[in-house]
Amino acid sequence: MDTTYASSAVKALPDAPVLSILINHPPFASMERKKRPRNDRRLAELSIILKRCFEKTIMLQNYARSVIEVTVTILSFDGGLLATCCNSITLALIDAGISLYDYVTAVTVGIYDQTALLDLNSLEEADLSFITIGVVGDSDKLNLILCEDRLPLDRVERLISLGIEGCHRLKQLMNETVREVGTDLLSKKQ
Amino acid sequence: MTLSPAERSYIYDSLVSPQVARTDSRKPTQFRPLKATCSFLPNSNGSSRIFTADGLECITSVKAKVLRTKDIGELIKVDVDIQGQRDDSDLCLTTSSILTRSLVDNLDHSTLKLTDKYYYQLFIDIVILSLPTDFQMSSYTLYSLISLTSMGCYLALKSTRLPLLISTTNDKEVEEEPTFSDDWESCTDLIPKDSEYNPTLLFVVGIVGNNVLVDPSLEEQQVLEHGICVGYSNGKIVPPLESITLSTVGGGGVNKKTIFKGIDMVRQIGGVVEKALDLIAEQEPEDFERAF
Repeated sequence: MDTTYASSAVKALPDAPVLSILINHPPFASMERKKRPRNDRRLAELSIILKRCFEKTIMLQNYARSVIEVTVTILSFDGGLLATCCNSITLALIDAGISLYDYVTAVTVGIYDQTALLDLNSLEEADLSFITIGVVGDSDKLNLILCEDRLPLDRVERLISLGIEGCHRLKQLMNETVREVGTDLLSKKQ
Repeated sequence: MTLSPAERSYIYDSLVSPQVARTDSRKPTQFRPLKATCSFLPNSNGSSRIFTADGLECITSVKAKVLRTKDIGELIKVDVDIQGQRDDSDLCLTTSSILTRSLVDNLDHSTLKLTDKYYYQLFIDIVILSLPTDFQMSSYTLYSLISLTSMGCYLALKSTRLPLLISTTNDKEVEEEPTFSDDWESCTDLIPKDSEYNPTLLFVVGIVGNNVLVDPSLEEQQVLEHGICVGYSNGKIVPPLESITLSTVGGGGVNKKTIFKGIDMVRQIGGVVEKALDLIAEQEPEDFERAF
Protein backbone atom coordinates (compact mmCIF):
# COMPACT_ATOMS: atom_id res chain seq x y z
CA MET A 1 0.00 0.00 0.00
CA ASP A 2 1.01 3.55 -0.53
CA THR A 3 2.67 4.57 2.73
CA THR A 4 3.40 8.18 1.85
CA TYR A 5 -0.24 8.83 1.32
CA ALA A 6 -1.28 7.09 4.53
CA SER A 7 1.10 9.19 6.60
CA SER A 8 -0.31 12.43 5.20
CA ALA A 9 -3.84 11.26 6.01
CA VAL A 10 -2.75 10.55 9.56
CA LYS A 11 -1.55 14.11 9.93
CA ALA A 12 -4.87 15.53 8.85
CA LEU A 13 -7.08 13.30 10.93
CA PRO A 14 -5.66 11.24 13.77
CA ASP A 15 -8.43 8.62 13.87
CA ALA A 16 -9.16 8.48 10.15
CA PRO A 17 -11.12 5.39 9.08
CA VAL A 18 -9.37 2.64 7.20
CA LEU A 19 -10.85 2.18 3.76
CA SER A 20 -10.05 -1.11 2.13
CA ILE A 21 -11.12 -1.92 -1.41
CA LEU A 22 -10.79 -5.41 -2.79
CA ILE A 23 -11.47 -6.21 -6.42
CA ASN A 24 -12.31 -9.78 -7.22
CA HIS A 25 -12.03 -11.00 -10.80
CA PRO A 26 -13.46 -14.52 -11.06
CA PRO A 27 -12.32 -16.64 -14.02
CA PHE A 28 -15.70 -16.51 -15.78
CA ALA A 29 -15.90 -12.71 -15.98
CA SER A 30 -14.24 -12.30 -19.35
CA MET A 31 -15.25 -13.96 -22.60
CA GLU A 32 -12.30 -16.36 -22.54
CA ARG A 33 -12.06 -18.21 -19.24
CA LYS A 34 -8.87 -17.14 -17.53
CA LYS A 35 -7.84 -17.52 -13.94
CA ARG A 36 -6.24 -14.54 -12.25
CA PRO A 37 -4.05 -14.92 -9.21
CA ARG A 38 -5.47 -13.41 -6.05
CA ASN A 39 -2.67 -10.88 -5.71
CA ASP A 40 -2.96 -9.70 -9.29
CA ARG A 41 -0.88 -6.54 -9.70
CA ARG A 42 -3.25 -4.83 -12.06
CA LEU A 43 -6.19 -5.22 -9.69
CA ALA A 44 -4.11 -4.10 -6.70
CA GLU A 45 -3.19 -0.97 -8.66
CA LEU A 46 -6.80 -0.22 -9.48
CA SER A 47 -7.86 -0.66 -5.89
CA ILE A 48 -5.21 1.84 -4.75
CA ILE A 49 -6.45 4.38 -7.28
CA LEU A 50 -10.03 3.85 -6.11
CA LYS A 51 -8.98 4.06 -2.49
CA ARG A 52 -7.36 7.45 -3.05
CA CYS A 53 -10.42 8.64 -4.90
CA PHE A 54 -12.89 7.61 -2.22
CA GLU A 55 -10.79 8.86 0.67
CA LYS A 56 -11.48 12.30 -0.75
CA THR A 57 -15.18 11.62 -1.19
CA ILE A 58 -16.23 9.95 2.06
CA MET A 59 -16.79 12.32 4.99
CA LEU A 60 -13.94 10.82 6.96
CA GLN A 61 -14.63 12.79 10.13
CA ASN A 62 -17.89 10.82 10.59
CA TYR A 63 -16.14 7.47 10.64
CA ALA A 64 -13.24 7.88 13.03
CA ARG A 65 -11.69 4.65 14.24
CA SER A 66 -13.69 2.44 11.91
CA VAL A 67 -13.00 0.22 8.94
CA ILE A 68 -14.93 0.51 5.70
CA GLU A 69 -14.51 -2.65 3.67
CA VAL A 70 -15.54 -2.62 0.04
CA THR A 71 -15.50 -5.78 -2.07
CA VAL A 72 -16.12 -5.58 -5.78
CA THR A 73 -16.83 -8.75 -7.74
CA ILE A 74 -16.67 -8.46 -11.50
CA LEU A 75 -19.35 -10.64 -13.02
CA SER A 76 -18.92 -9.79 -16.65
CA PHE A 77 -16.15 -7.75 -18.10
CA ASP A 78 -16.40 -5.73 -21.28
CA GLY A 79 -14.25 -2.64 -20.92
CA GLY A 80 -14.24 0.30 -18.55
CA LEU A 81 -13.10 -1.71 -15.56
CA LEU A 82 -11.98 1.18 -13.38
CA ALA A 83 -14.95 3.37 -14.31
CA THR A 84 -17.49 0.66 -13.57
CA CYS A 85 -15.83 -0.20 -10.26
CA CYS A 86 -15.92 3.48 -9.29
CA ASN A 87 -19.61 3.85 -10.14
CA SER A 88 -20.60 0.66 -8.38
CA ILE A 89 -18.63 1.61 -5.26
CA THR A 90 -20.39 4.99 -5.17
CA LEU A 91 -23.77 3.28 -5.33
CA ALA A 92 -22.78 0.67 -2.75
CA LEU A 93 -21.54 3.31 -0.32
CA ILE A 94 -24.81 5.23 -0.70
CA ASP A 95 -26.74 2.02 -0.17
CA ALA A 96 -24.73 1.37 2.99
CA GLY A 97 -25.67 4.82 4.24
CA ILE A 98 -22.11 6.13 4.34
CA SER A 99 -22.02 9.88 4.02
CA LEU A 100 -20.34 11.19 0.88
CA TYR A 101 -19.76 14.76 -0.19
CA ASP A 102 -21.24 13.94 -3.57
CA TYR A 103 -21.51 11.22 -6.18
CA VAL A 104 -18.35 10.18 -7.94
CA THR A 105 -19.10 8.99 -11.44
CA ALA A 106 -16.51 7.73 -13.85
CA VAL A 107 -16.38 6.92 -17.53
CA THR A 108 -13.79 6.07 -20.17
CA VAL A 109 -13.24 8.29 -23.20
CA GLY A 110 -11.20 7.14 -26.15
CA ILE A 111 -10.03 8.77 -29.32
CA TYR A 112 -10.22 7.43 -32.84
CA ASP A 113 -8.56 9.75 -35.35
CA GLN A 114 -10.41 13.02 -34.70
CA THR A 115 -13.46 11.55 -32.98
CA ALA A 116 -13.83 11.26 -29.24
CA LEU A 117 -15.69 8.14 -28.12
CA LEU A 118 -17.45 7.63 -24.82
CA ASP A 119 -17.44 4.36 -22.84
CA LEU A 120 -15.27 1.96 -24.84
CA ASN A 121 -15.79 -1.79 -24.83
CA SER A 122 -12.87 -4.19 -24.44
CA LEU A 123 -12.26 -4.55 -28.19
CA GLU A 124 -12.04 -0.79 -28.57
CA GLU A 125 -9.91 -0.49 -25.47
CA ALA A 126 -7.38 -2.88 -26.96
CA ASP A 127 -6.84 -0.71 -30.05
CA LEU A 128 -7.54 2.89 -29.09
CA SER A 129 -5.95 5.32 -26.68
CA PHE A 130 -8.26 6.10 -23.82
CA ILE A 131 -8.48 7.88 -20.54
CA THR A 132 -10.63 7.18 -17.48
CA ILE A 133 -11.98 10.15 -15.60
CA GLY A 134 -14.09 10.45 -12.47
CA VAL A 135 -16.11 13.56 -11.70
CA VAL A 136 -17.50 14.79 -8.38
CA GLY A 137 -21.23 15.40 -8.61
CA ASP A 138 -22.33 18.08 -11.07
CA SER A 139 -19.08 20.00 -10.81
CA ASP A 140 -16.16 20.02 -13.20
CA LYS A 141 -13.85 18.70 -10.48
CA LEU A 142 -11.97 15.58 -11.45
CA ASN A 143 -11.47 13.15 -8.60
CA LEU A 144 -9.96 10.35 -10.58
CA ILE A 145 -7.95 10.25 -13.74
CA LEU A 146 -6.02 7.43 -15.31
CA CYS A 147 -4.32 7.45 -18.64
CA GLU A 148 -2.08 4.61 -19.69
CA ASP A 149 -1.77 5.33 -23.42
CA ARG A 150 -0.27 8.04 -25.56
CA LEU A 151 -2.68 10.82 -26.34
CA PRO A 152 -2.21 13.86 -28.56
CA LEU A 153 -2.05 16.75 -26.10
CA ASP A 154 -4.28 19.07 -28.13
CA ARG A 155 -7.11 16.53 -28.00
CA VAL A 156 -7.00 15.92 -24.26
CA GLU A 157 -9.18 18.86 -23.40
CA ARG A 158 -11.92 17.77 -25.81
CA LEU A 159 -11.79 14.26 -24.42
CA ILE A 160 -12.07 15.44 -20.85
CA SER A 161 -14.97 17.76 -21.57
CA LEU A 162 -16.85 14.94 -23.33
CA GLY A 163 -16.07 12.69 -20.35
CA ILE A 164 -17.38 15.25 -17.90
CA GLU A 165 -20.62 15.51 -19.84
CA GLY A 166 -20.92 11.72 -19.79
CA CYS A 167 -20.29 11.68 -16.06
CA HIS A 168 -22.98 14.27 -15.43
CA ARG A 169 -25.50 12.17 -17.33
CA LEU A 170 -24.40 9.10 -15.37
CA LYS A 171 -24.85 11.00 -12.14
CA GLN A 172 -28.42 11.84 -13.14
CA LEU A 173 -29.17 8.20 -13.89
CA MET A 174 -27.59 6.99 -10.66
CA ASN A 175 -29.43 9.62 -8.67
CA GLU A 176 -32.74 8.53 -10.18
CA THR A 177 -32.04 4.91 -9.29
CA VAL A 178 -30.99 5.76 -5.74
CA ARG A 179 -34.17 7.75 -5.23
CA GLU A 180 -36.32 5.03 -6.72
CA VAL A 181 -34.83 2.41 -4.42
CA GLY A 182 -35.05 4.79 -1.47
CA THR A 183 -38.75 5.52 -2.01
CA ASP A 184 -39.39 1.83 -2.45
CA LEU A 185 -37.65 1.05 0.85
CA LEU A 186 -39.52 3.79 2.66
CA SER A 187 -42.89 2.64 1.37
CA LYS A 188 -42.14 -0.88 2.63
CA LYS A 189 -41.29 0.41 6.11
CA GLN A 190 -44.60 2.16 6.65
CA MET B 1 -21.73 -17.68 18.25
CA THR B 2 -21.46 -20.19 21.06
CA LEU B 3 -24.46 -21.46 22.96
CA SER B 4 -24.52 -21.57 26.73
CA PRO B 5 -25.01 -24.98 28.41
CA ALA B 6 -28.58 -24.06 29.26
CA GLU B 7 -29.43 -23.02 25.70
CA ARG B 8 -27.72 -26.09 24.37
CA SER B 9 -29.70 -28.45 26.56
CA TYR B 10 -32.97 -26.68 25.75
CA ILE B 11 -32.40 -26.93 22.02
CA TYR B 12 -31.21 -30.53 22.29
CA ASP B 13 -34.28 -31.58 24.27
CA SER B 14 -36.66 -29.93 21.84
CA LEU B 15 -34.94 -31.53 18.84
CA VAL B 16 -34.76 -34.99 20.34
CA SER B 17 -38.40 -35.12 21.45
CA PRO B 18 -40.84 -37.18 19.34
CA GLN B 19 -42.55 -33.97 18.19
CA VAL B 20 -39.46 -32.30 16.79
CA ALA B 21 -39.43 -28.61 17.65
CA ARG B 22 -36.77 -26.81 15.64
CA THR B 23 -35.39 -23.46 16.69
CA ASP B 24 -37.01 -21.67 13.76
CA SER B 25 -40.21 -23.76 13.94
CA ARG B 26 -39.50 -25.55 10.68
CA LYS B 27 -40.67 -29.07 9.94
CA PRO B 28 -37.88 -31.69 9.94
CA THR B 29 -38.17 -31.86 6.14
CA GLN B 30 -38.21 -28.13 5.56
CA PHE B 31 -35.41 -25.96 4.15
CA ARG B 32 -34.75 -22.40 5.15
CA PRO B 33 -35.92 -19.86 2.59
CA LEU B 34 -33.73 -19.52 -0.49
CA LYS B 35 -33.84 -17.12 -3.37
CA ALA B 36 -32.37 -17.82 -6.77
CA THR B 37 -32.16 -16.47 -10.29
CA CYS B 38 -30.71 -18.02 -13.42
CA SER B 39 -28.86 -17.18 -16.63
CA PHE B 40 -27.89 -13.61 -15.85
CA LEU B 41 -24.20 -13.72 -16.83
CA PRO B 42 -23.85 -12.68 -20.47
CA ASN B 43 -20.37 -14.19 -20.83
CA SER B 44 -21.28 -17.65 -19.57
CA ASN B 45 -23.24 -20.51 -21.09
CA GLY B 46 -25.20 -20.94 -17.90
CA SER B 47 -25.28 -19.20 -14.56
CA SER B 48 -27.15 -19.01 -11.32
CA ARG B 49 -27.23 -16.87 -8.23
CA ILE B 50 -28.60 -18.36 -5.04
CA PHE B 51 -28.71 -16.82 -1.59
CA THR B 52 -29.98 -17.69 1.84
CA ALA B 53 -31.46 -15.62 4.61
CA ASP B 54 -28.30 -15.92 6.71
CA GLY B 55 -26.22 -13.97 4.24
CA LEU B 56 -24.55 -16.68 2.17
CA GLU B 57 -24.56 -15.84 -1.49
CA CYS B 58 -23.29 -18.11 -4.22
CA ILE B 59 -22.78 -17.28 -7.88
CA THR B 60 -22.19 -20.15 -10.27
CA SER B 61 -21.11 -19.94 -13.86
CA VAL B 62 -20.87 -22.70 -16.43
CA LYS B 63 -18.61 -22.24 -19.42
CA ALA B 64 -18.22 -24.87 -22.09
CA LYS B 65 -15.18 -25.60 -24.22
CA VAL B 66 -14.62 -28.19 -26.92
CA LEU B 67 -12.03 -30.77 -25.98
CA ARG B 68 -10.59 -33.74 -27.81
CA THR B 69 -10.40 -36.47 -25.23
CA LYS B 70 -11.65 -39.83 -24.14
CA ASP B 71 -11.07 -39.23 -20.46
CA ILE B 72 -14.48 -38.77 -18.87
CA GLY B 73 -12.94 -37.64 -15.58
CA GLU B 74 -11.68 -34.37 -16.94
CA LEU B 75 -14.89 -33.26 -18.58
CA ILE B 76 -16.13 -31.39 -15.54
CA LYS B 77 -13.91 -28.98 -13.66
CA VAL B 78 -15.29 -27.34 -10.55
CA ASP B 79 -13.53 -24.37 -9.05
CA VAL B 80 -14.70 -22.82 -5.78
CA ASP B 81 -13.65 -19.35 -4.73
CA ILE B 82 -14.65 -18.16 -1.28
CA GLN B 83 -14.35 -14.52 -0.32
CA GLY B 84 -11.70 -14.06 2.33
CA GLN B 85 -10.23 -17.54 1.93
CA ARG B 86 -7.13 -18.59 0.08
CA ASP B 87 -7.60 -20.61 -3.10
CA ASP B 88 -5.81 -23.57 -1.55
CA SER B 89 -7.64 -23.41 1.77
CA ASP B 90 -9.18 -26.61 3.09
CA LEU B 91 -12.68 -25.25 2.69
CA CYS B 92 -12.29 -24.41 -1.02
CA LEU B 93 -10.57 -27.67 -1.86
CA THR B 94 -12.99 -29.89 0.03
CA THR B 95 -16.07 -28.20 -1.38
CA SER B 96 -14.80 -28.37 -4.94
CA SER B 97 -13.69 -32.00 -4.66
CA ILE B 98 -17.01 -33.14 -3.17
CA LEU B 99 -18.91 -31.30 -5.91
CA THR B 100 -16.69 -32.59 -8.71
CA ARG B 101 -17.05 -36.15 -7.51
CA SER B 102 -20.79 -35.92 -7.11
CA LEU B 103 -21.24 -34.47 -10.59
CA VAL B 104 -18.78 -36.73 -12.40
CA ASP B 105 -20.01 -39.94 -10.72
CA ASN B 106 -23.56 -39.48 -11.96
CA LEU B 107 -22.78 -37.79 -15.24
CA ASP B 108 -24.69 -38.81 -18.34
CA HIS B 109 -21.86 -38.62 -20.86
CA SER B 110 -24.10 -38.43 -23.87
CA THR B 111 -25.05 -34.87 -22.87
CA LEU B 112 -21.45 -33.74 -23.27
CA LYS B 113 -20.65 -35.84 -26.31
CA LEU B 114 -20.20 -33.99 -29.59
CA THR B 115 -18.65 -36.63 -31.81
CA ASP B 116 -16.74 -39.81 -31.17
CA LYS B 117 -13.59 -37.85 -30.45
CA TYR B 118 -14.79 -34.48 -29.24
CA TYR B 119 -16.54 -33.67 -25.99
CA TYR B 120 -17.65 -30.53 -24.26
CA GLN B 121 -15.59 -29.70 -21.24
CA LEU B 122 -17.54 -27.80 -18.60
CA PHE B 123 -15.88 -25.28 -16.32
CA ILE B 124 -18.05 -24.68 -13.30
CA ASP B 125 -16.84 -21.66 -11.36
CA ILE B 126 -18.43 -20.94 -8.03
CA VAL B 127 -17.96 -17.72 -6.11
CA ILE B 128 -19.14 -17.43 -2.52
CA LEU B 129 -19.58 -13.71 -2.07
CA SER B 130 -19.63 -13.47 1.68
CA LEU B 131 -19.15 -15.70 4.66
CA PRO B 132 -20.83 -14.41 7.81
CA THR B 133 -18.26 -14.00 10.59
CA ASP B 134 -20.23 -16.45 12.73
CA PHE B 135 -19.39 -19.18 10.27
CA GLN B 136 -15.78 -18.59 9.67
CA MET B 137 -14.33 -20.76 12.38
CA SER B 138 -16.97 -23.45 12.46
CA SER B 139 -17.28 -26.77 10.69
CA TYR B 140 -20.78 -25.65 9.86
CA THR B 141 -19.54 -23.54 6.97
CA LEU B 142 -18.54 -26.51 4.85
CA TYR B 143 -21.84 -28.30 5.30
CA SER B 144 -24.01 -25.30 4.68
CA LEU B 145 -21.90 -24.56 1.60
CA ILE B 146 -22.18 -28.10 0.24
CA SER B 147 -25.92 -28.06 -0.13
CA LEU B 148 -26.05 -24.43 -1.29
CA THR B 149 -23.35 -24.84 -3.94
CA SER B 150 -24.83 -28.10 -5.20
CA MET B 151 -28.13 -26.32 -5.75
CA GLY B 152 -26.23 -23.51 -7.46
CA CYS B 153 -24.57 -26.04 -9.79
CA TYR B 154 -27.89 -27.72 -10.48
CA LEU B 155 -29.51 -24.43 -11.49
CA ALA B 156 -26.55 -23.30 -13.55
CA LEU B 157 -26.34 -26.62 -15.42
CA LYS B 158 -30.09 -26.61 -16.00
CA SER B 159 -29.91 -23.13 -17.50
CA THR B 160 -26.87 -23.87 -19.64
CA ARG B 161 -27.35 -23.24 -23.34
CA LEU B 162 -24.95 -24.33 -26.03
CA PRO B 163 -24.63 -23.38 -29.70
CA LEU B 164 -26.20 -25.74 -32.21
CA LEU B 165 -23.83 -28.31 -33.68
CA ILE B 166 -24.09 -28.26 -37.46
CA SER B 167 -21.37 -30.72 -38.42
CA THR B 168 -21.92 -34.46 -38.37
CA THR B 169 -21.73 -36.38 -35.12
CA ASN B 170 -20.01 -39.30 -36.74
CA ASP B 171 -16.29 -38.84 -37.29
CA LYS B 172 -15.15 -42.43 -37.08
CA GLU B 173 -13.83 -42.44 -40.63
CA VAL B 174 -13.34 -38.83 -41.51
CA GLU B 175 -11.39 -36.57 -39.24
CA GLU B 176 -13.69 -33.64 -38.69
CA GLU B 177 -13.68 -30.79 -36.23
CA PRO B 178 -17.08 -29.88 -34.87
CA THR B 179 -18.57 -26.66 -36.24
CA PHE B 180 -21.37 -24.69 -34.69
CA SER B 181 -24.19 -22.50 -35.86
CA ASP B 182 -23.56 -18.76 -35.54
CA ASP B 183 -27.18 -18.13 -34.71
CA TRP B 184 -27.55 -17.89 -30.97
CA GLU B 185 -31.32 -18.06 -31.35
CA SER B 186 -31.07 -21.70 -32.31
CA CYS B 187 -29.11 -22.76 -29.24
CA THR B 188 -29.85 -26.01 -27.48
CA ASP B 189 -30.17 -26.83 -23.80
CA LEU B 190 -27.31 -28.81 -22.29
CA ILE B 191 -29.93 -30.85 -20.47
CA PRO B 192 -33.03 -31.02 -22.67
CA LYS B 193 -36.38 -30.61 -20.96
CA ASP B 194 -37.38 -34.22 -21.68
CA SER B 195 -34.04 -35.68 -20.60
CA GLU B 196 -33.88 -38.34 -17.92
CA TYR B 197 -30.66 -36.95 -16.55
CA ASN B 198 -30.53 -34.47 -13.69
CA PRO B 199 -27.38 -33.19 -12.00
CA THR B 200 -26.76 -34.47 -8.49
CA LEU B 201 -28.13 -32.55 -5.55
CA LEU B 202 -26.44 -32.91 -2.17
CA PHE B 203 -28.43 -32.87 1.04
CA VAL B 204 -27.04 -32.41 4.51
CA VAL B 205 -29.06 -34.28 7.11
CA GLY B 206 -28.50 -33.82 10.82
CA ILE B 207 -29.08 -36.67 13.23
CA VAL B 208 -30.13 -36.17 16.80
CA GLY B 209 -31.43 -39.07 18.88
CA ASN B 210 -33.87 -40.91 16.62
CA ASN B 211 -34.76 -37.79 14.70
CA VAL B 212 -33.41 -36.57 11.38
CA LEU B 213 -33.46 -32.95 10.20
CA VAL B 214 -32.69 -31.55 6.79
CA ASP B 215 -30.65 -28.34 6.40
CA PRO B 216 -29.67 -27.82 10.05
CA SER B 217 -29.10 -24.21 11.05
CA LEU B 218 -26.09 -22.86 12.90
CA GLU B 219 -27.77 -23.19 16.32
CA GLU B 220 -29.00 -26.68 15.59
CA GLN B 221 -25.71 -28.04 14.39
CA GLN B 222 -24.11 -27.21 17.72
CA VAL B 223 -26.25 -29.80 19.49
CA LEU B 224 -26.53 -32.44 16.74
CA GLU B 225 -25.01 -35.82 17.37
CA HIS B 226 -24.09 -36.65 13.82
CA GLY B 227 -24.79 -35.87 10.21
CA ILE B 228 -24.84 -37.47 6.79
CA CYS B 229 -24.38 -36.02 3.35
CA VAL B 230 -26.60 -37.71 0.76
CA GLY B 231 -26.63 -37.31 -3.01
CA TYR B 232 -29.91 -37.40 -4.89
CA SER B 233 -30.57 -37.56 -8.59
CA ASN B 234 -33.72 -38.48 -10.48
CA GLY B 235 -35.56 -40.23 -7.69
CA LYS B 236 -32.53 -42.26 -6.68
CA ILE B 237 -30.01 -41.95 -3.89
CA VAL B 238 -26.60 -41.66 -5.55
CA PRO B 239 -23.05 -41.33 -4.31
CA PRO B 240 -21.58 -39.60 -2.37
CA LEU B 241 -23.15 -40.93 0.77
CA GLU B 242 -20.91 -39.96 3.59
CA SER B 243 -20.97 -39.45 7.27
CA ILE B 244 -19.99 -35.97 8.36
CA THR B 245 -19.10 -34.66 11.77
CA LEU B 246 -21.67 -31.95 12.16
CA SER B 247 -21.41 -31.84 15.90
CA THR B 248 -18.94 -29.61 17.67
CA VAL B 249 -19.47 -31.43 20.98
CA GLY B 250 -18.66 -35.09 21.67
CA GLY B 251 -21.38 -36.63 19.55
CA GLY B 252 -22.62 -40.12 20.18
CA GLY B 253 -23.12 -43.35 18.32
CA VAL B 254 -25.73 -43.50 15.61
CA ASN B 255 -28.32 -46.18 15.17
CA LYS B 256 -28.26 -47.57 11.64
CA LYS B 257 -32.03 -47.27 11.52
CA THR B 258 -31.64 -43.51 11.93
CA ILE B 259 -29.25 -43.38 8.99
CA PHE B 260 -31.83 -45.17 6.82
CA LYS B 261 -34.44 -42.80 8.13
CA GLY B 262 -32.30 -39.89 6.94
CA ILE B 263 -31.82 -41.46 3.52
CA ASP B 264 -35.54 -42.10 3.24
CA MET B 265 -36.22 -38.48 4.04
CA VAL B 266 -33.89 -37.32 1.25
CA ARG B 267 -35.64 -39.68 -1.17
CA GLN B 268 -38.90 -38.11 -0.10
CA ILE B 269 -37.95 -34.45 -0.38
CA GLY B 270 -35.44 -34.74 -3.24
CA GLY B 271 -38.13 -34.74 -5.90
CA VAL B 272 -39.83 -31.70 -4.41
CA VAL B 273 -36.57 -29.76 -4.29
CA GLU B 274 -35.76 -30.74 -7.88
CA LYS B 275 -39.16 -29.60 -9.02
CA ALA B 276 -38.83 -26.27 -7.22
CA LEU B 277 -35.39 -25.65 -8.74
CA ASP B 278 -36.64 -26.64 -12.21
CA LEU B 279 -39.33 -23.99 -11.92
CA ILE B 280 -36.69 -21.36 -11.19
CA ALA B 281 -34.51 -22.55 -14.07
CA GLU B 282 -37.40 -22.28 -16.52
CA GLN B 283 -38.27 -18.74 -15.51
CA GLU B 284 -37.49 -16.00 -17.97
CA PRO B 285 -34.46 -13.92 -17.05
CA GLU B 286 -35.30 -10.79 -15.09
CA ASP B 287 -35.35 -7.20 -16.25
CA PHE B 288 -31.86 -6.21 -15.31
CA GLU B 289 -30.19 -8.65 -17.55
CA ARG B 290 -32.35 -7.90 -20.54
CA ALA B 291 -30.22 -4.79 -20.70
CA PHE B 292 -27.27 -6.88 -21.89
